[in-house]
Amino acid sequence: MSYLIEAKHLSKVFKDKESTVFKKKEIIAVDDVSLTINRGESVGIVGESGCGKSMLGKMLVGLTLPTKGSVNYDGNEISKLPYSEIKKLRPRLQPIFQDADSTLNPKFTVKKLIEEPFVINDISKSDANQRIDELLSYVNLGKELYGRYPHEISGGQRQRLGLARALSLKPDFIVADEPAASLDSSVQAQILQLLNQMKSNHGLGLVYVSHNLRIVSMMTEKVNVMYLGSFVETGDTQDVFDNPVHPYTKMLIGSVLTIDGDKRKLGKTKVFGEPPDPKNRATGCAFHPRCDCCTQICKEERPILKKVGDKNRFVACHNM
Amino acid sequence: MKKEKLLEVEQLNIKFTTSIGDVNVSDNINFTLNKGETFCIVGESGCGKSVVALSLTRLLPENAVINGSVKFEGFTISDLDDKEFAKIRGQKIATIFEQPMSCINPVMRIGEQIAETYRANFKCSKKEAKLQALKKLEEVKLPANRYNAYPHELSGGMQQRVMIAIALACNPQLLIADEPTTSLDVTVQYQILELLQELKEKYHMTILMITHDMGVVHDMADRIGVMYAGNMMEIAERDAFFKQPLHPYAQELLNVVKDPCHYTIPGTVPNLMEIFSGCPFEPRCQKATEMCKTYKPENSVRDERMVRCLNVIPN
Repeated sequence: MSYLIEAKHLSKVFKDKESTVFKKKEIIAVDDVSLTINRGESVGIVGESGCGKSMLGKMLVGLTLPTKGSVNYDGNEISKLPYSEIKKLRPRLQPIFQDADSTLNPKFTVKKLIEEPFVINDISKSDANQRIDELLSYVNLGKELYGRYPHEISGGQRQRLGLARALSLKPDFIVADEPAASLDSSVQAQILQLLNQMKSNHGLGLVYVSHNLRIVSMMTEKVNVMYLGSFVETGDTQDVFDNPVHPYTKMLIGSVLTIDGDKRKLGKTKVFGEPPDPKNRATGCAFHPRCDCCTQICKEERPILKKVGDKNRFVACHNM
Repeated sequence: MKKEKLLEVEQLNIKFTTSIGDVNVSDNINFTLNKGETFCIVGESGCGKSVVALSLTRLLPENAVINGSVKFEGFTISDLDDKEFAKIRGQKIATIFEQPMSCINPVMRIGEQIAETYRANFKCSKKEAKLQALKKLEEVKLPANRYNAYPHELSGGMQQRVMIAIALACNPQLLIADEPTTSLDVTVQYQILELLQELKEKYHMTILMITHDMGVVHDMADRIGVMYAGNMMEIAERDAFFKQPLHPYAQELLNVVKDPCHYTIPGTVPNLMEIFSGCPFEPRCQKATEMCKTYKPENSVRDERMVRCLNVIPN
């Protein structure tokens, strides 16, 4: 069976602002990442801010082109297609962003915003209208909101409008980039349930990008842990969360405060350091300055993803 | 052992007068802080939790109408005039906020900002203030060579540490932390919370923490207050609360946090401009009865536990 999305050796490199003619400086946002997504599968990407997880998401839906590597969607290599062809694929590959507000034109009403995808893709008005009613009832937005502007509806409603817009053209693949991060827990739950429902009803592939590990553990089947542009651990979500192998994964999972159990977690895990700066990448393993089991080889040689155990688990660490 | 009370808030009512009507953000709130404990106020956005915290140090804008009494160490501070109150703010009660960048001066070196706070409150030489500031930097685990750094040169976590250093410059007895870690990564949040816990024990501080994150509450709190639409719905000790929350809102909130993929609280947070004839949570409450629509629930208190619901009596 072929994959819905197959990304091979993706890299994204930016030129640093401080770069001069004599001294070239680069910022490597994503570094040699490969990943596959099947239909009806949800894959999580987790990591601290600045690790390149959003950039990876953008490359997967073709919003930005990779510097190196390729993204294959249903037999089409997105990075090699001319713009006009990419535009034809856009309805099938949809992003959902954290800040729905910034994706909604403040001068458009709710009705106009939801109509927009249909207008752009030349879909007849009667078809569009039927679909719009369907969509808005699906995401639980009432008709009384049609005439309102984005600033007149609540954050949760804006996020649901974003979901409706992403769903409007029946995509096969959705990248949800922190879709519920800025919302209150009760509203967050509504969005997550809607996403789950969408996934199971429409059989779409879902990439869930987030720094909230608890939600990723509930929403996804596979998870990729990212540190400074590359994956350090990938595997089945349940397996990774129950038994993390990479020291970074351990630290990340250890620092999530939950309400499960009676005991307090503070002071139990050793957590050091700050999210790293992609401009000053450490030599060898990028995580070594923050790692408590760092050895000489970690400072010199960069680890690659190696299979661990009999399950689908890959870890990039010298000291396993 | 009887606990010593540091702060007593009684019958606190706050409303904002605006051109389109009054907004009631605090409705008869009562709570006390015991010395040396961490009290967490938790609630969804717009429930009034930050406003309550800001009112304690009189940082609210001019259109806020505040009624009620606030006692600090048995001394009523709500009657003081602004000049006298300025001695309490900073020296006795300090605040840290969610966005450190909007609270620290972007064109002043961070060390000087810490020293300035010290000099503003105690008469001392510049040299001594600098020594104190260096000491504070060490306490919040920033290297001394960062004394001359500007805020934009620091990461978000380090900025929050500077903010804590400024707040602690005068060794306050009460630290109000308003969503101190909301904008930070989990790993940095963990370290900041550890730091707060450590400093709390070192200085026997009392912390009033405002947050919407139940995970943070679970780890930091000794006692918890749950707010909804300007009402304090439940106050309980941490263990008892997580074992069995009593108010229907608190129960549903915990369910949603535990399992967001299967639970939701239907409906939305009410508009605080309307005046509730009954319980503000009634439209979303599954246990609501006819009575809840017409009668406002009163606080029912037993031992350390308070619940504001017609259908629940603490036992």
